[in-house]
Amino acid sequence: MRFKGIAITWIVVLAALLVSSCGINLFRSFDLDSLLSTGTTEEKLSSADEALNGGSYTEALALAGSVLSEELNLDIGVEDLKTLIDSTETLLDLAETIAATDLSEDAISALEIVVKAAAGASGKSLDDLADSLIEIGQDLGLDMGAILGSADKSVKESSDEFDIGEFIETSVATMINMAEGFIDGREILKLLLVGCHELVDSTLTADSSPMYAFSGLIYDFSYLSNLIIDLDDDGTVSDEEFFDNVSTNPASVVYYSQQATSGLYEDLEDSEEFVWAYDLIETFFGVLGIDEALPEIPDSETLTVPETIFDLFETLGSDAS
Amino acid sequence: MKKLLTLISLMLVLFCVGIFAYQWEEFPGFFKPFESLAMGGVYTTTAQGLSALVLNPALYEPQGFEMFFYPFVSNNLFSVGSVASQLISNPASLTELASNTELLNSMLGIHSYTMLSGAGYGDNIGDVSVGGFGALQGSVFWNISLDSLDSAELGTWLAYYGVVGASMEFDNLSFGASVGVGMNGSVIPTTGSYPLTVDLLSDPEGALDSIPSDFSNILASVNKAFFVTSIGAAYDIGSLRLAGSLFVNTAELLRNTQLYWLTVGASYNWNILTVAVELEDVLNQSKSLWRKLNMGASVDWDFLELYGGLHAGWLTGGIALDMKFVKIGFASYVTEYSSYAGFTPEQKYTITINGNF
Repeated sequence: MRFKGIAITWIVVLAALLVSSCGINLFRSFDLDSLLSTGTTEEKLSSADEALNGGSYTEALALAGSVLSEELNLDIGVEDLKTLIDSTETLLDLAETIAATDLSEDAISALEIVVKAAAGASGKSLDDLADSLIEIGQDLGLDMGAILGSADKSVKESSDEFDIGEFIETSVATMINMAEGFIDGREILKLLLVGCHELVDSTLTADSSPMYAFSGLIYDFSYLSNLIIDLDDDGTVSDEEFFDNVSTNPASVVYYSQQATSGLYEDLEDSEEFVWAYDLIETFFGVLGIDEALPEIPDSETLTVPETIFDLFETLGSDAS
Repeated sequence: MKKLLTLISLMLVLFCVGIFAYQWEEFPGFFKPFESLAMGGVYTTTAQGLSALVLNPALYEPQGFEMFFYPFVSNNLFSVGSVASQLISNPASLTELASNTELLNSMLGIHSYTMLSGAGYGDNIGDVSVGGFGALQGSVFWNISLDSLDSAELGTWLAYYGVVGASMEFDNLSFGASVGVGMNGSVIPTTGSYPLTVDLLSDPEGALDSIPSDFSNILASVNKAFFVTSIGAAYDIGSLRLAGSLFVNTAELLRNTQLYWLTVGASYNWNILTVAVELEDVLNQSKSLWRKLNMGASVDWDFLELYGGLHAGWLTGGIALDMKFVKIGFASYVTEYSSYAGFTPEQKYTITINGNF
């Protein structure tokens, strides 16, 4: 009996210690609700910044999203703000409104937080890629030394000819192997892409613009990859057979691309998105000092013709030479 | 090789360093023992031993000679510890470690390591309980994110000080006061506000100017005098205790201003069980009500003590083994850096040793 009592005590203690280490907060929603309901723009931005610093991404996204919602007259409700990351429709609305609007100073401050918080909340932040960030940057042809402020300026030698087919091919393999689920979530990727592009535009003279350009480039290639691979347009690519095959055997990406149907095939809407996202690369390249003239790609209607991913690469590369 | 060099440069700049108003909970001249941290941070009705001279002198009861050692560690201890031991055994492995992505991952976010060690003595002189202690306190802090390389932060401070105080009891009412003096200073940055904020994208080398080149003489940075005082009162109504305490630091290093830290609370004791609730740092208008609220409970079986609580909404817990002259305790708790409950946490742990003779 005595042994049983001691054992129960220890189990309770260990359970309590375990729970106390789980990062559970019972008061957070009270402060969040109060700020979302009655907080001023200044309070929301400063508390969103605090939440972002502490890795409380959902809260940071809700608070900064609330400021953006007010600035862009989107009228997103408190409950919707708290679940913004899961609301694909609202994310898409937000991304499209941001792209179409001249942003105020407060809106830009909020957008900076929204981009970082949305990236953190969806597992698409650079922190999530820390394991393979340098490799990814180099595979994408980025001069990581320049981006990160070091003197190493020659990570990848530039070539005279820019082969877009090879470039995208490498990128797709890189993207697929980047991190689990990174290129899933088309709407969040679009928001991150639009956000980074707007921030690069708004902070052209600031030192932070290369950081947003670097992030933007990763989100851009992720978005392009998503459009190419996602056949059923559900925004998720990890459920596609091509993704599965390349994940298992990255070396055979060319073979699998000859078998897999392109996400742009007979899909004009996705093709237009592809062309739009592709055009943004030039801005990012410019800020990052990547001295490559991006080749022209065919118009969106032409991109709907190739049936397989391999054919699409060929089409993309055909005008590049 | 270039890949390695790039990574090393990344690591170096990361280790070198937002304009974000941290609500510091650990700062020179002020500390909470593990019992308090494990009980959700409550102290104004439950403080014991030498720490009571700082937290609420009205509760100070002399226990002869006391010594304490409190290391407060962050949740990335094992990664950092592994690296430290590897570096000590083989300093040449630095370049190898620089490309250790597991280490990079563990370094991201907010982390701090604080150490407090001290000793003191107390006794009763007539109806007055008198005591004092000397302590050495220090902390290392950093906040790094790959998404915010334009505002990475790093800070280190050191302090040494002495505190003397006394308490008196009139029936159910206790009063106490203490005063202390010490030296403190910011080791990183050597100048400017704490912590050091660096834009790694534009001026990573600039960060190095604020980091001492010679760490063998870091005590030279500990050159600012500070004075602390604490006054407190406690009123017992049967098993119910009401208490309040005010801690003042004339030149608080981290905030670079005078600090007035007022805390009020109540506790109830029922045999081996004590429950407490309090509002901490009441005068701070930046903090929300929920952020100021601490709640805790403890169960004391003489040799074994258990603790639990809520600090600004965060669950805390702890356990202690009381072996007459030595008490060993473990606490799992959260430091909240935000003005709001639950926004900017750092999970921390402490294993502490107290001795009294």
